[in-house]
Amino acid sequence: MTRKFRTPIILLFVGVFLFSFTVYNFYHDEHVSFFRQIVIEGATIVRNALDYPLKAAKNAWERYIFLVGVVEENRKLKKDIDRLVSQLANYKEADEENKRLRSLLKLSEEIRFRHVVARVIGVDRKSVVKAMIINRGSIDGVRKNDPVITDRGLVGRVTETSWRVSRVLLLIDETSNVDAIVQNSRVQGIVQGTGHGCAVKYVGKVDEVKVGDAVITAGISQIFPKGLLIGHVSRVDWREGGMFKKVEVDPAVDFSRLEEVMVLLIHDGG
Amino acid sequence: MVAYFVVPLFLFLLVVVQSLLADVLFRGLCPLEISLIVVIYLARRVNLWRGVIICSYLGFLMDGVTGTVTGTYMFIYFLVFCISYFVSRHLYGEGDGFIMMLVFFWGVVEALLLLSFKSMFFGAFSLSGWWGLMFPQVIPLCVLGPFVFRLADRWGIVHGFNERSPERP
Repeated sequence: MTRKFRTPIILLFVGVFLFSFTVYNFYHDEHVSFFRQIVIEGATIVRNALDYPLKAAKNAWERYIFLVGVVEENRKLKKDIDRLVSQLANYKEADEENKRLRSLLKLSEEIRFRHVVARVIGVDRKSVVKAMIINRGSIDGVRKNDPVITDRGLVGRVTETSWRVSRVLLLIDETSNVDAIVQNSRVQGIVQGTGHGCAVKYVGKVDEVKVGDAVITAGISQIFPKGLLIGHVSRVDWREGGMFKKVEVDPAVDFSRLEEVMVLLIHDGG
Repeated sequence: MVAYFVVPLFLFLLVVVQSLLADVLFRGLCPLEISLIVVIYLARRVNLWRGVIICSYLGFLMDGVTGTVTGTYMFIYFLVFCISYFVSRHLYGEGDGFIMMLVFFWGVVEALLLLSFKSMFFGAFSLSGWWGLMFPQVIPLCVLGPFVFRLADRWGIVHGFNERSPERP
């Protein structure tokens, strides 16, 4: 009898252990474990190594697959066009990067906090956790809860750091909460991610909020400094939501086009 | 013996490459969780305790790469493996349709479990978010399921661990 139930009992014990382990990790996430850091660092190394050939293969496939069978001259001309287009794309890319870096530079002159510029090396906008990976980690001074911004506005906050990379929770994640103020009316609320955008919670029915109003960080919590642009009000509905208005916000940042960001090192004594 | 070195490394590469592939093919709009198919495959091919260890390891890697709370995927993969393992003793099939149905079922269950965890920890649960998470992921996985099974059998991915024959009584 005991032998018959031994395996299910051990499995149940393992299951309960794993569940408790998850709950424990949720409440004790101050430090990223050594093994988890190894996984994050290792994944970044492999990712970087494979990223270029994979993208090159994809580009080659897209560019040349339809050229098979075309006469020699036509192929030569197309190759020339491809080369020129690629060259132009490179110039455009450099120009765009230049513009982005210039705006970040301009922003860095305006910002009174110590900061580092980071490159986005992976974005997960449709996963369980809407987050991105940046190429700056604890050795660059990045700490948990440091705000991440661009010249357009707030991107999110750092949720875990490894030595050379960090994970940033995006503003649009359902678990992201930012204390905010509607700039014109000074109405306060909490901006919470909705998965694809944001919404301001706890805005009373008598509070005046209009479509197009800018929403900025309130600076009440110790995480985000005051005055960072979050987005603009896109919809106000006072009929839904009981005591509160339903206020939707369009984030100022386009999360699908993030390439370089700035991390404010406010938790590193900056 | 070689399997003890090769399998962990292979699984690590799988977890990283699947996220990279999802990024390149779907521009990050749809996760591609081939590791879930691997868990279902393991439940039908390897013995119980080895499977439990491999799935927990695979879950740990997923937790690290996706940024979920450590233990979330470990628990989910453990659950998927154990239930699949015991069910496969009574209900067994090798046809493409059967594998696709299996992957579809576990894809839906996994999405539900993930959202339950998220709801439990952060109090954030949206049904629309659940559909948005489930469908883009489950459909390509269903198509890939039989292919991954065949590939894994042919390459002997769990070579050395392969203690249960595909042709079960």
